[in-house]
This record gives sequence, structure tokens and C-alpha cells, in this order.
Amino acid sequence: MASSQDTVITQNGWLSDYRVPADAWDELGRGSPPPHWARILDYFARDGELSEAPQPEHLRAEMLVRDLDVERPTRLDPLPFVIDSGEWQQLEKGLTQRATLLNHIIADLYGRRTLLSPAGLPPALVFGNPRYLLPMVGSQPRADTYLNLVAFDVGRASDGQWRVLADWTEAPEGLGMCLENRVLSGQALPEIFQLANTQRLAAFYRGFAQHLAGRAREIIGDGITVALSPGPDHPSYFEHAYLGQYFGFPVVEGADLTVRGDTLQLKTLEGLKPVGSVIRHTAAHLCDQLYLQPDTRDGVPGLANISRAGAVHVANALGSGVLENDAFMSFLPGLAQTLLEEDLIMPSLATWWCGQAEEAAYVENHAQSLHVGPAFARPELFAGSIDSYSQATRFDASAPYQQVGRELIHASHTPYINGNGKLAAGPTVLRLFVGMTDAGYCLMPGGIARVQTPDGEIAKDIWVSADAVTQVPSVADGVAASAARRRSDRDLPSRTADDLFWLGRYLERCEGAIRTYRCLLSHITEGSTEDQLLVLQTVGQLLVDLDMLSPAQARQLARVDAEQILARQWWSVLFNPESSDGLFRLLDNIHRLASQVRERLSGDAWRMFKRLSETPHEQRWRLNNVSETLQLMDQFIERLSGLNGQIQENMTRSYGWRLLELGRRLERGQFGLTVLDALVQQASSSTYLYLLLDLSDSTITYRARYQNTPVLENLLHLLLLDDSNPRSMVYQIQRLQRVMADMPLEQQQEGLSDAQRILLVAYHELLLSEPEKLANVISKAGNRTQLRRVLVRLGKTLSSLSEQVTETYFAHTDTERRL
Amino acid sequence: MKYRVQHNTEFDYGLPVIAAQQVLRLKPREMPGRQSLLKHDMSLSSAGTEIRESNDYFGNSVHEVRLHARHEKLAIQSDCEVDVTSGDEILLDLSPSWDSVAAMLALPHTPELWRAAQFCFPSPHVDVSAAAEFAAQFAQPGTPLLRLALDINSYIHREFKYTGGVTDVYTEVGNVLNNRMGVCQDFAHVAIAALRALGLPARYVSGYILSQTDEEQPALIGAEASHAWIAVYCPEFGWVDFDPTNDQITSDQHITLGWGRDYADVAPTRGSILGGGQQSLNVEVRVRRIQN
Repeated sequence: MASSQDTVITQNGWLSDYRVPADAWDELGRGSPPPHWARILDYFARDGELSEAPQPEHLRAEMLVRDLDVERPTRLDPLPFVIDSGEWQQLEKGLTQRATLLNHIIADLYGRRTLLSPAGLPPALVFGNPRYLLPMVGSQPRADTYLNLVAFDVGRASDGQWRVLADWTEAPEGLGMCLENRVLSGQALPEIFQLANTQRLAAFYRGFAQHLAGRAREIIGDGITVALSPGPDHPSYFEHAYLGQYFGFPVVEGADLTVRGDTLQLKTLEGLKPVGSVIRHTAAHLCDQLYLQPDTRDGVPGLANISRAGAVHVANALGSGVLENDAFMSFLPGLAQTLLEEDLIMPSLATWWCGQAEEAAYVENHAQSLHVGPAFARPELFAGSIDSYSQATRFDASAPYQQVGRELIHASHTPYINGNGKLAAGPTVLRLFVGMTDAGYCLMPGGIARVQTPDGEIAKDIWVSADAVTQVPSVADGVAASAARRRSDRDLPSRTADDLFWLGRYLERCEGAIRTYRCLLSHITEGSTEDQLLVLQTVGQLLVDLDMLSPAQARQLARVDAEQILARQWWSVLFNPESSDGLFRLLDNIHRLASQVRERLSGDAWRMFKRLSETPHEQRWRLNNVSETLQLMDQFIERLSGLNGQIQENMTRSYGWRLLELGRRLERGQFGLTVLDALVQQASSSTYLYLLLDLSDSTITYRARYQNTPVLENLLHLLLLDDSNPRSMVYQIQRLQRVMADMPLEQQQEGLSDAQRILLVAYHELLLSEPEKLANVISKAGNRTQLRRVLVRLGKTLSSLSEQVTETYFAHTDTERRL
Repeated sequence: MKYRVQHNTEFDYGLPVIAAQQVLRLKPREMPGRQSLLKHDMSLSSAGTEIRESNDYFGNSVHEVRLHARHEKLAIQSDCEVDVTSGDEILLDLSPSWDSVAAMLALPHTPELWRAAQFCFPSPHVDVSAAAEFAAQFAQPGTPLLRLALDINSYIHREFKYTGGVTDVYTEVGNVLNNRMGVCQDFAHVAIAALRALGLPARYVSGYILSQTDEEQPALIGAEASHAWIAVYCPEFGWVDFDPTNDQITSDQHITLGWGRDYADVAPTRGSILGGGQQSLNVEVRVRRIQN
């Protein structure tokens, strides 16, 4: 290996873009890279040129990123950040000590409060800090573990020394991203990954999750662990979902949890389940509308109180954000002495907190050479670019304790592959994670290296060679790991169940709407005889009933020149975001619900959902004429069918699937009734009967069965009673019966539940109805009263079933409101 | 002086509420030498209720109420008897100068000062920087602290118009300062912000006041509501209560429920519900003197 150093650097055609400023440290040793780097660079270099090799791999990494469809804040560089074992051990010692120290400080601030005394800290540092949460004073979590996970931003200064640039103690982000980066870089560069003997991350994650799950069981015997997230609107939701899935912890929102007695409970489809520990992704002040900030929708009323009492282990403890600022940093060496009786191993970036007269004066006099910023606020997690560590701002003397000055540093430079396929250099900050395990605090053997480039920030996977690292010990590896990964569908939160139910309904509604549009459009193209206009009128009215067309638009359809008028407007008819009619709202709802239940969907299914909602955009359909619009509708049908196939074929028959099915069957039944009602009452001419078959997607089935022009009687048999026709009413009822029988709360009851009773009655009424009479008994006023009665009763059945399901399973899913 | 206070709160939610949680701070504090609680009863209209009593960070009594049964209305009745003693007369001008106190609090050298120092900073309803300019006019160096506090109170009483309905619990100090009107809680927030802007410790006190003193005519139910004022910490004097709404240092007519940094810490009721529709809230407070 040692011999390769020279070849890489001296024949450096491909290093021509690699330039490191004189005042910054070069990770590549200014021409003689250390062995751990040389080994990696060698792999990429062939004959002194950056070989073609990284290109396809690069692309592959990019492709994988797209496939995972994570909205990544940054791009992943295929070239990892490698670190020498000796150096890593130093970081490990320094950062685990630092995590221990930070935990001690928090324990003191919220527990014994010895630092809150004349001999301790300045009051402004604590009470002037909005993230010191008074309601949490007195909390004492198990084993005094306030911090289960701490992230550190670490950079190497010009002198070659590592410094801590930031401590993240509230709800550190990035653990999910690390995992993804590792999957990607391991897949993209398998050879070199093996060659470098890279330390695996799994043991760390397992140790972390096991510890939390253990805490949960200590608190309540069968207590589960959940991941509390603000939901899909949060920029890091993908990470919350990804991590939750990896750990096997349900990802929940505030409304999914409730405090009963002295315990936290998860509202699931099967009822309430006790929760013993919570990985918290939600900012602390938003976690409880009763005891913390009132105007939040993300919290659980009462959570602060029971977590203070130790009835649930919250990781990290509410209030631990008190240390997430630069003001505390200059106090750490002294606090290490006071609380640990040790020297602080890892130095921090130098800071001057202006709550002290001398420091304020220093900052005022050196404002040009410092970065002056808010003392108690940091930029949003992960949003802050490395840039902010080297930009100077003005000193404001009005509220000095709210400001802090920090030294400007030039972070060390690391190579990355730029857009030209060459190596370039950029300043780099490492985000490293220390987690609590059964063996105490451990530094994750990896992390994210963030490199600043002219095109924005990019990320690198951090590779630590295996011999350098203390293994995270884990007891009973196999058993606990499988327990942690067992994904219990029984913990399905009621809110997610509600979302799945509606997702099923909207998907079916969408299909019905599109079939109806298609039917309408196909009639427009065929000219405009009297008969056709009548058809247009009927289908138009049907679309109005379905909220898919406005009454004004429907009126236009009834005109002879309908084709010309509407052709120009199809886009707006279908996709107008302002309108409550049309597909836009529906597709939007489907996308929203799908993203809310995304962790329940396979990667394939999720991609198909995305593609469905993107259909109108990606095609740049101009929809100048009816036939283009028809093509678009065909494409929609194709995608919907693909999606339905995916759900039917690839989803396990879990509660999740049942809820989708429930929604779908209810909606299909209702759609069928609406169509029958609209068409059968009008006339029995063959035009209408064909239309009915078309809308019910039963034309082929009818031909196969009856081989003649449609007769209403046969048609009613096919659409109401034929249990082999997946579009018939009886088919929907049978499916609903089957699904309801498997729903959790139905099984606990003795005999039939209300929902099952309703379905059973409907089923028998349907079986006993006689299509011949329904079709042919016509009142004096010309109405088919018997048929109408059957349709009305079925409609009632479906809506009362929907109410029953909502009442039984989703009743507590309303959002909480503040008083 | 002994009082009976009846404080009735009624929520009408319009539509059924599936679950509700309330945090109530309706039990007067024990204050050795100033106030003793003779009796306190709390009742709720709804069945299926969990009630838990605890003390909050400031030592106020808190009832956490959880209702898991469906209900459309909730009535909370708090009924108490309190004995209030007026404090010694305070010689304002003997208090230390405000600037010396501010300096002392920046680096508190006794535990007591340390505890007071936590009331020197912004809190959710008290935007200190918004009141910096307003506070400056009172800040002549050397003015005795309690004199300065009274000046601020008198100024607010004189220049601000007591007007109901123009503000709500979320109205910010800056707005009250601009519009110069509001209710007791707004005036308290302004006074607190001004004192804190000068580096002085000020807290928010929630309670009741007897507004009808004529004993022949008992106060009408509904004529009163819960009240709010402030307290300032002064070395050697301790916490001294001022009522900016009534321009006075409190004596035996103020009944203290509890205190905190601002309204958010001691709101008499705070809650969150599941379900419900258009809701209305009706609060009735009745304060009567009782005989010994």
C-alpha cells in the first residue's frame, strides 16, 4: 500500500482540480496522502488518471438514491470519507466523554440543580435560554439518561486538531441518512468496501434500539417503543419513517398517543397499547399542549407531566435542547472539572458568550474577525451550511446575553468527485453520533461527512476500518434483534388505519371518475346526434353527482359544438387546482394519504403512487383535442390498475391491506349504485344499457354471458347478483363481509357485530331480489319503484357500514384542539 | 379579611367531545403570613373523569382533569374560603435603587437572589425587548426600586384604557403598548416586560379581587372575573405585589391563586379536546366577604 502513495499523487492529471487553500488542513496530506486515503484513491485511479470506474458507480449511487425516493437534503458522493484508526479512537474517547458530560449537565439542570446557585452558572445562561423548560424541572429518567442520542459536528482546524463545532442534544437528525448512505455506498462500491475492512453500523443501531426497548419493558411489562414524529410535512419525515421501519418501532404522531392514568398509550386498531419509551423527533416545546406550548398540533396532552414522573422514557428527554447552543460551549471545560472531575478531552470551537462583561467587550472589539450570532438558537437542523461557520456578522449591544461570538475556522478539505468527473477539494464537517446502549455511550463507527462544494453541500459516508473500533457489545444478539425487527401490524395506529381506509376509497373513486370521463369523451368524438346529446347530458350529470364536473361545465356539454368548446378546456376541467371539482383534488388527496402511510407501502407501491399523481405533469399533455385527453385517461387507468395489482398481489393480508380493501369495496359499491340510479331510471334504450356496461367495466363479461344486445333484466342480474363479476354489488358485499370478519374488534364480540349484521341483511335482500321484476315492474308514473327501493336500501347499507367502521375504529382520530 | 370565592367555568362544545383534558389552576395558594386557605372544593359536571392534583414548578396547585366519556358540556365549579391578611405598610423610598438591584441580579450572590433572577427574562407572553423603550423613561439612576415599580403601575393605570374585548390571551406586549388598551392581564404583562427590560425580577400573579365593597349589596354573579396583577422582587422587602389595573399595592382585597412568569404559567384553565364544534365558554366569578 505504502508504495502506491507516490504514483497517485505525482502522476496527477486527475488531481488538477484538487486545490486546498494554504490556511486549511488537507486530508490528503498536501501531496502525500496517508495510507488509508491512498488505498481508496488507488481504487479509483488507473494509470495516473481518474479511471472510468467511478463514473458508472457514481451513476449507480445516484440511481439508487432516486429509487429509494428519499427527498435527500444533499447528494451522496461515491467517494467515502476514510479515517485512520488512531485518530478515530481519539474521537471516540473525546466524544463519549462529551456526551457523558452533557448528560450530567442536563441531569443537574433538571434534577439536583446544583449549578443553579451562586457558585454555579450565570442565571441568564439558563433562564434566558428559551429551551430550558421549567415544567420539566424535577424530571428524573431511568438511570439518569436524559440524552439517548447526541450528534456532534466535528471539524479539523488548520492546526490539524479536531474541534467540536456544535452539539446537537434535542432530537439529532441524520441517523436515518447514515443508514441509507451506507446502503448506497456499500452497494455502489462493494469491492473497496470489503477491501477497506469497513466497520459495520448495524451493531450500533441494534444496541441503541435494544436499549430503548429494554427501558420500555422496565417501565411497563409489555410496553412498546414508538417514534414520535411531527408527520409527513416535516422536512425530515422520510428519515423518521426510514429509521422507525429499520428499528421496527411504529412511527406515530402526537394524535396517535394519549395519556391514561399514569401511562402513555398508543391508539391502535385493536385498542390502547401501553408505550414505555419514545424516540422523539418532535421539538420538545411542541410535545405537550397542556404543559408546554399550547398552540401545537404535534403534541400529546399530558406527556410532559408523565415523562417527568418517569412513567415513560422519552429519548431525548424533554428539555434537553437547553444545551443545543453555542453559549454553553465555553463553560464545558469548567463543567467537566466540576461534574466529572476530568479534563475535557475534545476542545470546542472557541466561543465568547456575551452574557459576561469581559466576553461581550471582546466580541464587540473583535466583531470583524468573529462570527457573531444568536446565543440560544442554531440554524434548523441540517439546513445550516458549513458556510455559517466562517461568516462574520455584527455585534448588537441591546441584549448581550442573547449573543455569542465564535471563532471563524477553516475546516479541513477532503476530495470529492465533481461534475467533470475529477477530484476536487471542499471544506468538510463530520456529523458523528453517540448513542446510549446497554454498555453505556458508544460512538457510532461511521457518520456523515458534509462537504461544501460550489454546487451546494454534498454528503459522504464515513468509513472507519474495523480494527479501529470498540465493538458495541450486545447481549443475546440473535433473539433481541429479531424481536426488535418484528413489525407488529397489531400496533397499527388508528389514524394510519383511517388514512388507509380513505386511500382505498379515493383510489376507487378516482378509477370510477376516470372511467366516467372516458365514457363521456368517447361519446363526444362520435358526433352529436340527438341521441348522443342526451347521453352527454346524462353522463355529464353523473359527473356532477360525483363532484367531477361543475354544473356549468355539464351544461356546456349538452350543446352541439361541445367538442370544440370543451377541447380547449379539458386541462382546466380535469386539473384546475382552484376548483373543488375534477381530478386535481382527488389526486392530491391520494398523494397526501399515500405519503402519510408510506412506511406501510412497499417501495414499488409508493413509486406507483407517485407516478399516478404525477401523470398529468410528466406528460405535458396539452390536451388540444379529445383524443389526447382520451389517451391520458387510458394512461390513468393503466396506472391505477398497476397499483391495484400491486396492492392485491404484493401486500400481506394485514390490517393495512384490509382497510384499503374495505375502503375500496365500499366506494365501488357506492359508485355502482350512483351509476345504476342515474342510468336505469332514465330509459331502457340500448344506448343507455351499453353506457351502463361501459361505466361498470362489464361489457366483455356481458357479451361472454349473454351474446346478445343488452336487456335490462340480464344486465341487472350481472351488476347486482352475479357473484363472479368483480363489479357486481353482491361481490362487493361478500368482500366486505370477509374483511369485516377479520377486523380486530369484530372477533372479540360474541355473535355478530353491528357491521356484520348490516352486511348480512343486505346480502340476503340482494339474493332474494328478482331481476325480472326489478327490470319490468314499472309504475304509472313510469318509474321502476322496486328497483329504486333496492338501490336506496343498498345505499343506506353502505353508508351505515362506513359510519360503523369510523365509529368503531377511527373515532379517536380527530385532531385535538386547543381551548 | 375572609372571603368566599365561587368560580364557575362552563364549556359548551356545540358537538360531542370524545375526550378532553384540562389543566386547572383554581386552588388559592397558602402564603404564610398573608393568605391561608380555609376550604376548597372542586366539582366537575361530567362522569368518567380522572382528576389528579399536583404542584407545578412555581409551587402552585394544579388539577389535571381528563374526561374520556363523550360530553357536550363541561362545568367546573371551584368554591373556596380564604383568609387574607394585609401586609405591613411599605415605605417605598427606603427600597434600594433599581440599578443596584439590577446589578445584583446579574451576578446573584445568594440563593434567594438566584431564585429571583429567573424572573428577569423574556417568557412566552412577555416580550421584553418590545418594552425596552417604554421602560427607559422610568429609569433614572438611583430611583428606589419600589418607587419605580409604582411609577410604572401608575403610568399604566393613568394612560392605558381598561377595555374588554379588544385583546385576547395571545395579544403581545408590543400591541398593548401601541394601542394603550386592554384588560388586567395585558397591563400586568406590560408592567412585567418593562421591569424585566431594566433587568429586574417581576412575576405574574393570578387571583381575584373584591370589586364590590358595599356589604349591603352582595356582588352579582358574573360581575367579576378572575384578576391578574404583578409582583416585584426587592432585596430586604421580598416580593411586593402591585396592581396596575387599580394603581395600588395590594392589601387584603387581593386573593392570590398562584404565580408564574406570565399568564401561560398560571392560566386558570387550559385544555385540549378531541372533537366538538362551535364552542362557547362562560366564566362566572363571585367574591364575597364572609363574617368571622
